[in-house]
Amino acid sequence: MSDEHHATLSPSFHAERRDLRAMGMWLFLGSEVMFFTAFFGAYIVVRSASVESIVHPLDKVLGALNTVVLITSSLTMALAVAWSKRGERAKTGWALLATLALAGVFLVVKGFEYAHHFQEGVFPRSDIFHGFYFLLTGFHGVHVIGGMISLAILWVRNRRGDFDEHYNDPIEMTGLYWHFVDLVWIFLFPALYLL
Amino acid sequence: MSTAPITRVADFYHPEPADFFHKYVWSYDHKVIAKQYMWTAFTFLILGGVLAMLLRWQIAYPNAPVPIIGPLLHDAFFFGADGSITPNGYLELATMHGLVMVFFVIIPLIVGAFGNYLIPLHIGSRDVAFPLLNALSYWLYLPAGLLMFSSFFVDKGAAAAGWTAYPPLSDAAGASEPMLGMNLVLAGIFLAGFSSILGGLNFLVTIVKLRAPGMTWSRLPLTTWAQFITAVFQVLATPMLAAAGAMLLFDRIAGTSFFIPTGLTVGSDLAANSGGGFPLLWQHIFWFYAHPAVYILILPSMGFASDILAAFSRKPVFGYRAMVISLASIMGLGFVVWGHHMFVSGMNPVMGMAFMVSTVFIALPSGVKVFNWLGTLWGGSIRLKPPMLYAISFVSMFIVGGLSGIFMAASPVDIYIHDTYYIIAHFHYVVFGATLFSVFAATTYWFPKMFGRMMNEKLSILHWGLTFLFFNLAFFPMHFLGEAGHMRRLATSTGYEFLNPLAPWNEFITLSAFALGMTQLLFMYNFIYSVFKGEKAPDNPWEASTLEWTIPNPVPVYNFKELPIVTRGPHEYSSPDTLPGDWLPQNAPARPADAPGAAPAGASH
Amino acid sequence: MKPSTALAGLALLLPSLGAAATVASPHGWMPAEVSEAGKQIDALYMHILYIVIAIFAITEGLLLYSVIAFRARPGRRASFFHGSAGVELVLATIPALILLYITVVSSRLWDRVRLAEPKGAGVVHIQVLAEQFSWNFRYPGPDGAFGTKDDVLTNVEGAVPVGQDVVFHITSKDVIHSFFLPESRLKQDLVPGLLGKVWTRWDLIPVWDLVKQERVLLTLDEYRAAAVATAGYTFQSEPNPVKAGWYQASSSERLNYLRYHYDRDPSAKLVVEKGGKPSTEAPQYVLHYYEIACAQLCGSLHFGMRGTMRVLPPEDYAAWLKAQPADSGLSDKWASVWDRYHPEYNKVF
Repeated sequence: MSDEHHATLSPSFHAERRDLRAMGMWLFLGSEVMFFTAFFGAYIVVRSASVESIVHPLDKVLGALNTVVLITSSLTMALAVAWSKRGERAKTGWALLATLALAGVFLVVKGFEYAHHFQEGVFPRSDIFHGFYFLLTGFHGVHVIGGMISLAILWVRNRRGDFDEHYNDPIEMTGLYWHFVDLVWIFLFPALYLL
Repeated sequence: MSTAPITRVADFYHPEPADFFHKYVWSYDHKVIAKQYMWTAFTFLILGGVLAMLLRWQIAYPNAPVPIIGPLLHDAFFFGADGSITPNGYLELATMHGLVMVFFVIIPLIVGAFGNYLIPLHIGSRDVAFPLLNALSYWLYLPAGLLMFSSFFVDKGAAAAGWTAYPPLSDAAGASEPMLGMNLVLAGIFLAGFSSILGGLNFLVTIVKLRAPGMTWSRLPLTTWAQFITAVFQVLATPMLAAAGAMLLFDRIAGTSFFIPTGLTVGSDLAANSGGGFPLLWQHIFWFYAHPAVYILILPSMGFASDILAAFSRKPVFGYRAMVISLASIMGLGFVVWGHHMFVSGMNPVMGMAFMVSTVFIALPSGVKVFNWLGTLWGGSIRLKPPMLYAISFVSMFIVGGLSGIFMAASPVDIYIHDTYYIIAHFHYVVFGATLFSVFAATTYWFPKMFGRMMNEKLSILHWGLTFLFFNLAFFPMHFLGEAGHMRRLATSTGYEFLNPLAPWNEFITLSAFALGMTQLLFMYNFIYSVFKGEKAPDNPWEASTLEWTIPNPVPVYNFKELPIVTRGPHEYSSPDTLPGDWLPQNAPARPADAPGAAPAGASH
Repeated sequence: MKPSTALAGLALLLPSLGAAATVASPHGWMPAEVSEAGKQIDALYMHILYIVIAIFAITEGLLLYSVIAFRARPGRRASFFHGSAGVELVLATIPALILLYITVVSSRLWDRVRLAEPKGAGVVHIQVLAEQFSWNFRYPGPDGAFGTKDDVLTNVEGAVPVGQDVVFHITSKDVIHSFFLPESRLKQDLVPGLLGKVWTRWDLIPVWDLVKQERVLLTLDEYRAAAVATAGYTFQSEPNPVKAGWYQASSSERLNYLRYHYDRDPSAKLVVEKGGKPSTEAPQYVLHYYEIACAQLCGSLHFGMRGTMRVLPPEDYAAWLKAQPADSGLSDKWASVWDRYHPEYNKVF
């Protein structure tokens, strides 16, 4: 980034830029809400209009486990943001790592679920319910991976000393994004697993 | 640049790059990015136009070999063995013409090019809120366009299910549907949509957060207001297209059946996908995006027209507040009218009734805007320069396009004219007659600022007159064809008795369309020649008052040496305090008559 | 006046002339409407057209006037005003009232056309199954039920009795098509997986005038009063001899201008009827049809998906039903698609 071209960026600059980025991130999350709303809306319409019973039981235990994992990861993310704002570099690093690890656990559990489905011969094309299941969890998973990449980069940058109590936007913005990803799952879990 | 600490975002800017790559290819400067969009979009405009010329040939002279190109390219692309256009080739042409024009020409031009160039200048900032994201938006758009373009070259050709891509035809089950071509197009649209969403949120943050001191919401040029509302549509509606496209891609590649109902049988083969889906699901999700998309196609051009009409009438826009409220109403209503594309789709007629009500009333804000444009002209001192000629034609064509929309809004009438040439006439009047004319207006108006030179005035007037004439000759008769029941997307109409008497009209339209296409060469020549050899332009050739005219040509990378302090509205032309001239820039000192050694009206610092 | 202004004025004149031409002729460009609903749709269309033309004249007129009257002249200063709340209000209220009127009239008609399905014993029910690229029709036959052995199946050509309400039950087996009968102002998409219903009543019988060689529409009484050939003629078309343009070698390549006519077919038996009974009079007319068009893109042969709908006096309709081949090979389509996956579509009454 061209920050190096200037001598210093003062705290007021960082605060102002943080505001811009926060608004940008909220708008981006707004667009993501619309994206998932399309899928959820379609799923609800198809579910309610379907004549035959199309719900095949998913593993509720694994789903619940993943829910707990993600909620916890949101907690650790929030801790990372809070510590970063207080300039606690080491603690921030641990919190980021914990979030990353929990996200990894989520993906591994999801991977188990997918593998199990494929072993049983259940694919997205098998029936309309699984079509939606793989579509929704697939895109959610892509968003988790995106978040993980961001978290990894943040951990490296934090280690390098890029962040301090004035400048920590990327962590805060990733935090917002991560909470959104968690929120989508909180809707996904009941919609697909419970109802 | 000083090395003192930077305390405000407004003071920050990326310095002038030294090498060619950072200057012209990967640039953070919104002005460079705008020009990248402009050149790319104009190139796609040529492509879209050529596609239209070819399909018009086929309609007028069915199965006749296309002169020169046909025999040359026989058996390739859309051409058959004798150089005529094949039935599937015709559908490719019609589909790609629509897709290219909507996603790769108009939106990139009015939002990507002009939005990018003007927003920071209009609000008095040095750049957009996220310059890196801005560069990324362009570099998503170009590959998207190339992906889309590459679909012509694959086996079985490009997408051919109409730009609206209704499944099951566009889905895996469509019997004559090409496979790879449509997938490439979908991928291209996905990327372009992503570019659009990022661009939209960039503009929203810029306009909300980076306005110069004194630039209140009620002093924004209407161009900026229009871009703001458009950006809301971009951010909230485009994801729906992404979602629909993803579901369609899943159907085509992963074998799901979101849009394929049980028992779908093509020929005598049951569809491979498992069924349980709904074709109308696509239509709902797609039109939920695509209707706001048509507002994305028109609102920025309404903004250009408002500002240009004011500048060349030398008086304020009539009813600025009403204009803003109209924009906001269109934004609100624009999300609840999508069903009017589906009146005859088999959708529940009760829903049809609801959509009819909202659709009829969305005509109201547009009507208010037309009256306000007329009011802007009324009592003015009208300077008929090329930007003004185009802007006046914009209003004139928008009236026709808007009025023809009322017929469609009345759903019983729509039963008859849906999927006929009436619809084609309507949207071409609004997208070509209105928006594209506004693009010509914006190009001739802001060319001096963008390139430091003037476009040739005589050539512009000639282009304007001929385009206006041929456009009306080509598209007005389509209303008649629609009244006669001539359906859309027909490779040839010779099979129907009731369409037979209309054949001469098809030929007339085609010939007018060819003339229209040829006329655009004038604009191309004028544009390209003037970029390099045009007469050097003064800083403010139009004596306009918005902020971009207060800075010198060429515009430096930091835009404003000192950020302006805005004291006036955007169109305070001919106000008493501008005497003896008839204008002052928006950042003129509050009481110019009192300032010692006050500069005469018209001088920039 | 500057040439540019003149050019602009001329270009504005063209749509005005077109609009005037539309108003001047009673049907404008539209095919003659043959059903009650069609008449009402046309009336609504004309209503809106008058309103639109008035608004067009006023706005474009003001535009043109302003451009000329308020031209920049040396020493002239523009009037400085930001607008007028009063004028705005009036200018917003008048269109709002007009739009309200259009909404009310349209909803009443919509209700009649789309929501008020005709019911009762006299209604004729026909199933329509669209496919790439033809139309299939199924009639319930004497037992009055669909999906039974006595159903009458036809392809491409359908028929209905004149003067009776007809309800079409429509769907498609592959992609979305659109069931469009221009003269009836009837159109609805046929969506696979969805059963649609459209209805109409045809009051005029399409026949072909053998003298003028054009289609005419007769009421049932006019039909019975004339000698009409129901068999023995073939429908021909050939390219209209037209002066070839410089870009085409010969006029036979001009496929877009066709001349239609019915010719006596010597190999076919001539059947003429008059007043509902066989006749030996020389026929004045030949039985013709309304065309069915597909109005929704359905694939590469979308342009060729044409059907015909005969409208017949009741006795001819009954004869037509009897005359359709019993084993036409079409039953597979219906059995494998319609009856197998959507038996509920057969529950009609």
